[in-house]
Amino acid sequence: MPRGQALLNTEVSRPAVLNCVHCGAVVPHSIDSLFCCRGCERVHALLEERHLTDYYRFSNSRNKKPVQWTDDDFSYLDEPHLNAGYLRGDGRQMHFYLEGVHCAACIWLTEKIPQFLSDASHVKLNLSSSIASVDRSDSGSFAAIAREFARLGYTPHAVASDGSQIEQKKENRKNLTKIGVAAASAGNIMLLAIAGYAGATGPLSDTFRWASFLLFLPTILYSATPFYRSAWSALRRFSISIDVPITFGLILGSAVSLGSLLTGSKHVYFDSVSSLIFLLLSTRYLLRGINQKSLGSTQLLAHVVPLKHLSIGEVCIVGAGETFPADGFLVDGESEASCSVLTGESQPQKIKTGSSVFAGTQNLTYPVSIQVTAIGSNTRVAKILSLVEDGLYHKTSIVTLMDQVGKIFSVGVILLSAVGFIVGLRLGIHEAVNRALAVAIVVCPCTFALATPLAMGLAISRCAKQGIWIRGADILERLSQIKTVWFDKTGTLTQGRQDQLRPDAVAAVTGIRGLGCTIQILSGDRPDKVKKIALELGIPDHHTHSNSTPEIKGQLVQSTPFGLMVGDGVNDTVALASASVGIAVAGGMEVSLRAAGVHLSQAGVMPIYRLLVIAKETLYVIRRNLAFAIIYNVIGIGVALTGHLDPLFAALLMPASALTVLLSTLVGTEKLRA
Amino acid sequence: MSILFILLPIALLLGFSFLGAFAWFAHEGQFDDLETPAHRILLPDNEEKDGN
Repeated sequence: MPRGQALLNTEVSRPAVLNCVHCGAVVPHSIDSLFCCRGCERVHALLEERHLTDYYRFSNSRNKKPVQWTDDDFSYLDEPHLNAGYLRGDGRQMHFYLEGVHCAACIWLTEKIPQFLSDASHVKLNLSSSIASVDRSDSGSFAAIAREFARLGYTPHAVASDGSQIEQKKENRKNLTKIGVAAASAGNIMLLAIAGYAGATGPLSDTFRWASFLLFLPTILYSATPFYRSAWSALRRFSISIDVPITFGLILGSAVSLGSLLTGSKHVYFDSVSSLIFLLLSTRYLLRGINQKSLGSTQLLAHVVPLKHLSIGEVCIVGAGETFPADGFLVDGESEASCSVLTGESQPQKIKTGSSVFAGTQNLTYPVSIQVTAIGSNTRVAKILSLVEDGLYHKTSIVTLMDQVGKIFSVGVILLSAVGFIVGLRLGIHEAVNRALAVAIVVCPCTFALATPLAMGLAISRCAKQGIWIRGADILERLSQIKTVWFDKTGTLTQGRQDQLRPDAVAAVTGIRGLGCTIQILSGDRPDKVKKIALELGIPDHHTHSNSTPEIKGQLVQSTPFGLMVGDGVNDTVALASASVGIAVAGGMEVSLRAAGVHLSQAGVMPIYRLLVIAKETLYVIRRNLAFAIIYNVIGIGVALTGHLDPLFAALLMPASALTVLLSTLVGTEKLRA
Repeated sequence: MSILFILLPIALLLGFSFLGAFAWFAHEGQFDDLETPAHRILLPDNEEKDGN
C-alpha cells in the first residue's frame, strides 16, 4: 500500500516532531498532514502513481527543501517568436535550470522522464550546475517537458542559448589542456633534474638538460600564454597587475636557462619555471568556477512574469493563484492581490474595477479581467530590474589586497634587481648581470599568487558545505570590511508573510552587533509591523525604515559605503545590487540571485553572522600567507644578492614556500572549520 | 648507462601519448562535469529510448 497510507493507518497519537514524508522538513503543528506543503504532497502522489517510490531510497535528506510549486503552463516555450532565444542544436534541444536539485535521486528521477513523456527523447542532468539538457522528440513540446519538471517538484527555468556559455566551456577546456601540458612537462623535467642535483656529469647529463629544454618549450610557449595576455593588457592600460612580475620572471628565467644551456653552464632553471607555471595555472583554474554564469535581464523578467504575447489595450483574464502578466487595471471582477514580491507589503490588497495591478504580483482569490497598460520592458518590475543592472555595473570596485601587493611587488623586483647589479659591479660586469638576473629569478611570485586563492578557495568551499554559495572572488574581502548590515523584514527576518521573527534572529543580530557592525531594517511594510520587529531585535527608531519602495531601498543602501544588504524578493533587488555585498536568503525569488553575490540555501539568520566571521578570518589567513611570502622572498633575495644562487636552491625554495602557505591555510584555520 | 639514451625517448613518447589522450578527452568534454557521473553509476539502469 502507499507509504503515506501505511503511516496514517497506525493508531498512534501524533508525535511531537513530524517530518514531511517527501522532503523531511518539519511539519508545523497547524498543518494536519504528513506533508509540509501541497507541493510535496502532489509530488509524492505522482511518484506513487508511477511506482517511482525508489526515489526515497536514493535520496539523501540533507539539504532538502519543501517543493516550490508552480502552475505556469510554459506555453511560450513552443511559440516561435518567443522561444528563439532558448533553442539549441537544430531546435531540438533546450537547457533548463532546475530548482531544488540536490542529490542522486534527482538525477534518477529527471533522467527517467523520457520513459513517461513521449515529448522528451533524452534528459541529462548536471548536478553541480543544476542544469538539465533536454532533447525533444520529433513532435514533442518543450512546454510539456517543462510542466513535467514542475510536476516532479523541480521548477524549471529555460536557459538562454547565447554564445557566452559555449565560449565559457571552450575556455575551460583549453585551460584544462594547458594545465595538463604544464603538469606533464614539469613532472618529467623534475625527474631529469634530480640526476643533475645528484651529481651526474658528462654527456648523459648534457642530454638530460637538452631534453629538459625540449620538454620546457610547450609549457612556456603554450601553457603560459594566459599570463602574457593578462600582463600585456595591464601594461597597455599603463597599470600593473600581479601577472606583470610573473611574466617578467618567467621570461627572464627561460632566457637565462637557455643562455646557460648554450654556453654549457649548469645553471638551468627549467624545473622551477615549469612547476611555477603549473602551480599558478591550477590554482587559478580551481578558483575560476566561483564566478558563476549569470542570467540576463530578459531571462530574469521571464522568471518573474509569465511571458504572454500581449499588446497594450488588450483585455485578458487572470485566474486565481496566477501571476499578473503585465501592468494594467481591472475592468471586471473583484479579488485580492499580493504585492509582497514587489513592495514587501505583507497584507493582501483588495482590488476592484479600476484598481491598478502590476506585472509580477499575484492574484489571490477570484479570477479578474485586466486591461493592459504596459508590457515587457515597460512594466514597473522590468524597470526595477534594469536598476539592478545599473547597480551591478556601477558597484564600487575595491582595490583588493592582491592588487596592492602586486604593485609593490613589481616595483620591488625591478629595484632589487638594480641593487643586485650595482652590488655585483665590484666584481665585474659579468657578475653584475648574473646577480641582477638571479634576483629576478628567485623572487617568488608563486607564494604571493597562491596566498589569496588558497585561502579564498578554502573559505568558499567550507561555506558551500554550510549552504552558503559565494559567487565572486572579491566577495569575501568585501565582507570583511562591512560596517552596516541592512536587513529586509518580510521573509528575511520573519518567517514567511505573517508568521513572526525567526528563532535565531535575535542571537544572530546580537552577534553581528558584536562584530562592530550597525544594523538597520529596510522594509516595504507598514511602520507598526516594522517597529514591532525592530523592538524585539533592539534596533533603534532611526535605524528602522518602513514603506520603502525598491528604489528607496537602493538609494539608502548606496548612501552608506561598506554596506551589506540581506533580502529575498524583487523589492530588494536594487538594494542587493547597489550594496557592497548582497545576500539573497533561502526561499527568495530567482531574480534576487542575479542581483546578489551570496546565496543562502538554508533558512535562518545565523548563516549571515557565520559568514561575516568566516570572511574576517579568511582575510587574516591571507595576510598571514602574504607575510610568509615576504619572508621567503627576503631569504631568496638575500641569497641572490650575495651571489650564492644556484638551480638547486631555487628548486627547493619554491616548493618550500608553497608548502608553507598551504599548511598555513589548511592547518591554521579553526573558525573556518567550525 | 648508455641504455638511457634509448629509454629516455621511449619514456617520453609514452608519456606524451597519454598527454595527447588527455588533451583529446578535454576537448570532447569528458571533464566538464566531474560530479554527476559519480552519482549516476550507483543508480539502477535507466534504459534510454532509441539507444541514445
